[in-house]
Amino acid sequence: MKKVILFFITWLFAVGAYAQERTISGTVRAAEDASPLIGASVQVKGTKVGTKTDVNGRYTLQVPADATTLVFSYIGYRTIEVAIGDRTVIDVSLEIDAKMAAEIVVTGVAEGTPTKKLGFAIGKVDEQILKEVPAVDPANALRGKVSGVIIVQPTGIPGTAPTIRLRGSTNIQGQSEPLIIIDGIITPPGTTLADIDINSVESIEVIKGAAGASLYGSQAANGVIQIITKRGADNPNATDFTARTEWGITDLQRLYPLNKSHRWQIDPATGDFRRASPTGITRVFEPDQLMDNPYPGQVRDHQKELFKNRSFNQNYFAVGATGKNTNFFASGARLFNQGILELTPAFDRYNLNLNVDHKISDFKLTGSFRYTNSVGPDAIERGQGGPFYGVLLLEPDFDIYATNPDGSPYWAYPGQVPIPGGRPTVAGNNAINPLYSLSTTTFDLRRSRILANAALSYQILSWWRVEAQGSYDRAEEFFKQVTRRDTYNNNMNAYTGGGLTQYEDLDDGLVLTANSYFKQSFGDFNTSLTLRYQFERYTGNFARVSGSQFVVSEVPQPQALTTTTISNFAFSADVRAENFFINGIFDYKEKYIFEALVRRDASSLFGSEARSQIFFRLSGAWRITEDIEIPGVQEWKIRASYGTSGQRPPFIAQYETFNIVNGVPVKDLLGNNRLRPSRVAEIEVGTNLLFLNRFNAEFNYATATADDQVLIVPLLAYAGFTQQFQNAGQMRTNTIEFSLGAEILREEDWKFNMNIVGSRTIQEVTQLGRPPFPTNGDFGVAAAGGVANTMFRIEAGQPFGVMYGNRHARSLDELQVDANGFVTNLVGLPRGVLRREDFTINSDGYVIRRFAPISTTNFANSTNPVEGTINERAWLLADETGAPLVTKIGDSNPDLILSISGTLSWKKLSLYFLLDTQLGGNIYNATRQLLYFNERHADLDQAGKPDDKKKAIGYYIGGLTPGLGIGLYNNNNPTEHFVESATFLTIREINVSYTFDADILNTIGINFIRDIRLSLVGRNLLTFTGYTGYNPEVALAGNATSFRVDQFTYPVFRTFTAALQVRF
Amino acid sequence: MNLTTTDKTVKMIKFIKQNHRKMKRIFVPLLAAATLLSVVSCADLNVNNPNNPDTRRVLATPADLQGIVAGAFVTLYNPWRGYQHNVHMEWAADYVTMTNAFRGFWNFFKVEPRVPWDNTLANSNGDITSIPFQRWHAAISNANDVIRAIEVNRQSAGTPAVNAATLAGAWFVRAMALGYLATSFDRAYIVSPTQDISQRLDLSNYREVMAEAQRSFDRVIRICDSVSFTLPANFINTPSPYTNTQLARLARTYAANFLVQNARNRRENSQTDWNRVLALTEQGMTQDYVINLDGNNWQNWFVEIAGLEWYWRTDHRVIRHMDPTYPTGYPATGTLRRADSTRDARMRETTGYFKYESSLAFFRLDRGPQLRSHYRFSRYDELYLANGVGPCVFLYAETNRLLRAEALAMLNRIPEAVELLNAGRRTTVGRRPPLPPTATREEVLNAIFVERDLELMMTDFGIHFKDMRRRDALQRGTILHFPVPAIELATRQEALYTYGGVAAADGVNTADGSNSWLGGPTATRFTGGQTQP
Repeated sequence: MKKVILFFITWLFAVGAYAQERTISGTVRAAEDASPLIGASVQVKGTKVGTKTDVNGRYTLQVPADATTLVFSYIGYRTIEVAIGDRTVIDVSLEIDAKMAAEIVVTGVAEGTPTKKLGFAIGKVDEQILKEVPAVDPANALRGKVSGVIIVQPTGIPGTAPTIRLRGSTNIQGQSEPLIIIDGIITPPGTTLADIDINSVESIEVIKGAAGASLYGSQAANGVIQIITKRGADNPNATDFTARTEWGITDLQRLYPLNKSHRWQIDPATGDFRRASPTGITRVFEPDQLMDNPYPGQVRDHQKELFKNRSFNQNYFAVGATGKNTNFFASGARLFNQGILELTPAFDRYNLNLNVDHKISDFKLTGSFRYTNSVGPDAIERGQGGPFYGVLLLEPDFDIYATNPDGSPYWAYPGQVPIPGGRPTVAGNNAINPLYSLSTTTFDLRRSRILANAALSYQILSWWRVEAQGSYDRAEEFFKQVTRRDTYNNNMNAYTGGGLTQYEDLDDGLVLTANSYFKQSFGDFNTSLTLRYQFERYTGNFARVSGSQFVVSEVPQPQALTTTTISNFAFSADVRAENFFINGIFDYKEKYIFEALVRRDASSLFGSEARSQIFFRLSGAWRITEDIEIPGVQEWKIRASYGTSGQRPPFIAQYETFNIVNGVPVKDLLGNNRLRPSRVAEIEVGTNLLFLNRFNAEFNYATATADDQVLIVPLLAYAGFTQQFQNAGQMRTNTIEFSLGAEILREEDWKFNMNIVGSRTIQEVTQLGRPPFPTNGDFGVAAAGGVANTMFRIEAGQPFGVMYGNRHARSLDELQVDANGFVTNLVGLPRGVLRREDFTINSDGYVIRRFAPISTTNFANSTNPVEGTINERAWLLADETGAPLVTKIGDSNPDLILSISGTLSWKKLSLYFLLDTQLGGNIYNATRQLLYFNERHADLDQAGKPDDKKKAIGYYIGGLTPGLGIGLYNNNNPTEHFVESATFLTIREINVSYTFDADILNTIGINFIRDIRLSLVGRNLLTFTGYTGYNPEVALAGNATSFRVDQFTYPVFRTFTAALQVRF
Repeated sequence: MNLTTTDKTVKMIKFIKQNHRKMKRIFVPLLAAATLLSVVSCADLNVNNPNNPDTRRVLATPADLQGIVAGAFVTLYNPWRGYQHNVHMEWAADYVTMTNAFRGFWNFFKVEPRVPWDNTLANSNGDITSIPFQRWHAAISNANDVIRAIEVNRQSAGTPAVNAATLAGAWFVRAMALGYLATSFDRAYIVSPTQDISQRLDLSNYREVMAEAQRSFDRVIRICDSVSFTLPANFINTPSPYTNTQLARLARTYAANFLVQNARNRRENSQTDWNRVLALTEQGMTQDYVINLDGNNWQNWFVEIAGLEWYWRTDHRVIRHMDPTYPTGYPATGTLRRADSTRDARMRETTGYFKYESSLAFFRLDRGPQLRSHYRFSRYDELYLANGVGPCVFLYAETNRLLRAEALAMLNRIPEAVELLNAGRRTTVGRRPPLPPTATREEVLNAIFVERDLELMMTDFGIHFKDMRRRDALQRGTILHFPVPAIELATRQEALYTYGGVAAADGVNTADGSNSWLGGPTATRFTGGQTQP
């Protein structure tokens, strides 16, 4: 009976199946090249019945009889629905979905991977955004587009890329610049993004943390930025031409606030400054010492004479084709940016790109060739000899166009040698006429770069592919700075003889890679495994010669210098590395994803006893909405990753070295054969949410610990060798970052997309295996750093970027008193003299004493009030020894950075904007401090101030006067008074454009043009800030994101342009 | 199952035939991988540093020991390059003046009343003291390497004469570096040539350091007295290389000089071993110790720039040696006359000591009138005009004469001291009346210190400062010696400390001003009224 029942049931089902199901088969191909799509999903609409295509793109599916429609989908392609009808064979071609294609990433993963399957965060900027306002380089293109990216342009010198930091700093001593990869080519540290043309860039991918970057092992502690250039045409089986031209001008938004008044006596007889003695050039100051007198005669604005609207243009042409087996993309671009500085050459850059892909049966050959050549300016920044110093220091009554005694233009030192017929000069103004400096010292900075890459991929079996790749990178930089022989000395009584510095730097990189990819599905389990071997070799050769005193004119070559002044320096480096990794990804139905990576790096940069290092990553993700349906939520994924990556020590770090000082060896570094790369371990958790079909949100929290910091550790004096590179110190950073994309309007005519990105990072030095040290952030290159030299304190327990210095007392509560009520903690005030009530707060908010001291030796109160008199001084707080208290005065780290971008379009008219803001964080305005000393800062201008608020000069710059206090200038020591808020809001990018599409063009009889786009573009358009310098975007070069100091730099400027783009 | 080799081959061929297509697919990538691996897999990751040598390369041949000594000399004299603390000591000694805030010239060392030296890591001018401290110890380390190689490891730098010259050079550097450390800092390290420096060393006080310096000088003298040699030309850039005899004389004078200058106050000065000073100076230097500055390894910034008309000016303290009526400081208002040059001819410009400059354009009044002066040092104008390249005196032979005179005076052999003084430049150039043989010891000593200020102008390292302190003549609150630099203390993980400042005036580490040149502990340059504008 049992058997009968069983048979019956089986028959019933079999008949049922026979009666209700049929078999449909077919092939799914890519529309662009008819290649089979492997693993494409084929599903019966409204059911869970479905399958995946095989390696030939084929599928076979049993479908219920009542099935009417099949849904074909493949990541990166548009999903289509096909009515089944009577057919049993259904072949389809899927079109690339531009929006979805953007969701495939190639950075940080062994192979192109959909973002939905990633266990870590990745930022991506695609062409849609990049093309709106083509930035001058990819670094600027990233601004405001990816959360957790901090960008600071430390200088406005055209051709200088900004400094980028991803999340927190991972490097106490050295750069925190990310690894730059260009189309898969790993570039060596120091690669400047300023050489890359953005027009040919398809997308930029950003891996912000060490976990995501683990794949790159010891090169990637600072994260990774990959530039992906365009390949083929926009459309399949077509050839596209694009031509774009953009013309406009540069402009400086704000001038530095300067003093328009002076404190000197005017001689009524001459209407000119009274002279101290008939022969001397010294002026006589007024007894009140107030800078409230207008300059006699004509005054000028030297900043307007130096910073001009100059030309900015860029032109671009590209041709791309996508064919059945071959596609190629070729482009050429020129960027011409004159900047704003008079008499300086433009940054003039040419780019050529060629990308070719070719397929022969199972082989795929990919090649890229990239060439860049640029000529650009440089300028003397920071120091006291350059134009940025002179332009702010010269008094406004000098005519900087006056002719020199030798007939050359631009009177050299009007502050030291009076111009005939001009005014006597002020004491000790050592400023050079900026135009003279620019006309006698010229800079020539040339760079060229070749990046070539070839890869051959071979699909051996349906589940196994191998690939070999080789890339070659050659970067060349040539620099020459020449000061003419007939350049005046600063007394203008002789020529200096001039001088020259030139260097050439030639770097070669060769990277060979072999990959083996395995991909297999086991039922609902998908697995992929990658093995990679990589060999790297970089060689660098640098040679510099410098000297002074040309023996002949107009021969700007080293052989024309006085022999005894010539100095030579050369440096070569040879870096080799060998890396292996294995990476596996496993997922179940694409909803539970797990990934693991192990990498072994061996590098010649590691000490001989630490030659190989292991890095790893584990990550996982759960696509919740695949399991749980949540109304209104299209996709919700949570993910977590933990991974390590590192940073290689500098070339010289492991070696014992003697310096050769003019032929004799002098001990320098003690070697360290146990030197390891620094190691950053990061935990990142995050979530991605697509909801209401309009919103796309991401949130990440990352916490990273950077151990084994490679630091220069001073050795005890008796060691002979003065210092050693050691793995000492640890940093911790915590970052929260978020982004929200919204499609606010998507009507027929009106469309509005908006994107908000924001982040906050806290970075702290948690351990330091050496004494705390002060730095200017430039680590070892303190040249001309001035006040900034020791401002930043590297100390365990302190934020990285914290500023230390002195502070003037601002409140009576800060005054400490002894048992008898006498104030004990003011610099220059002996104990037992004054009580709290002897002090008051002045109109600037500083503590001053109420009454002047009786004499220079008796500091007790007289009856003469202090405020408003020449005796008014603020007081520095003292430590217990009586020395100026050194305390935290600021912190470069912002509280929050936030950007909002959006595109609003109405029919063919569109407006794109990017607003960029930083909240919190400090800048040390060292420019302002030095302008105090030189009596040129607007703060010192007392004209127009109410009499009771006027301050005499000594209040600002007076030296320590025991019993009275010290000027705010504080002898050029770091002082809280010059710490300013870096908060700003900038309208970073604006593009108003109108597109004439084919329909419109056809109506006027033009049918060979796809579209024409006319745009008005503004970059760095408007900055709103309380910061008093030119622009809150300023820093000393080196580590610009963590060490913010303003010190006579080339101001960051804006551009206004109009652009025309035609596509055929 | 046992297979013969032939069987195996047949089987393999069979297998290949059967799997031909598959094998071909696999063969290509395998071949490619093999090629790639053969190219790079034996990648040699041992890379030499071609830019700087290490010890092995520096000491590749025995003759290279000479190079180490040459490097030790360069290191020893490194603090003269740049404005290191010899300049600052002369500021504190009221020897030079200037209003430039560069490298803390006036804001630490010239503030009146004096303030403490900021010996913290925050002081942007902290390397004023850390550079000399580190360089001198580094010079000792270099010297120790050579001494150990020759005396302990029995290596030879060449012929007996070359070997002796190398060894004498090493001991001389060691002695000099210890001497400078002892006279400038309160403490320093004593590292013997055989010291195991992986062990933590303690700091020794300046008396112990000086004793070690003296022992090293004795070693130099002993070697020089036993072997004839000429120093290799790259040791010291003297116009012609020193012989063993010249080096012995130089060593004796320096030994005496350091011994004398190690005293921190008048009390210690009286405890100096003046008999040893006398003995050393009997066979001391007879010619000026001149180094040819080359703008690179050999520089002396303090002296080189003296010829710049608006840079260093001479503090009124020094002018008052020749014209006691000259004010102690520049007045807050008005301009000042020239000093009287009738008392001492060295006040006349023609004698080439001082020059009157009318312009005070670079001397900011708001930084304090006491920083102003019309006079500058003109003795080294030629060097300035030659851009700091050329002969520069590092120690005058006159130093030896004056040390000898002082030793005689201190040993109460007044007439001999007077005789020495009267035969010197005091009368020949200064045209001063001879001192009577009946002069008191104090008068003789005062005359000697005037001579030291005028005749030894800006030589050696902080010479005038060290003279002032051993007479208690510094202003109250002036630092008497420097603390171990903050960076060194921090590396040792020891507490920071400092000296200087009126409140710390103990007469031991900080001047109490008991014999201040201004006239006692409470005296100031000015009396009455606020002088700051």
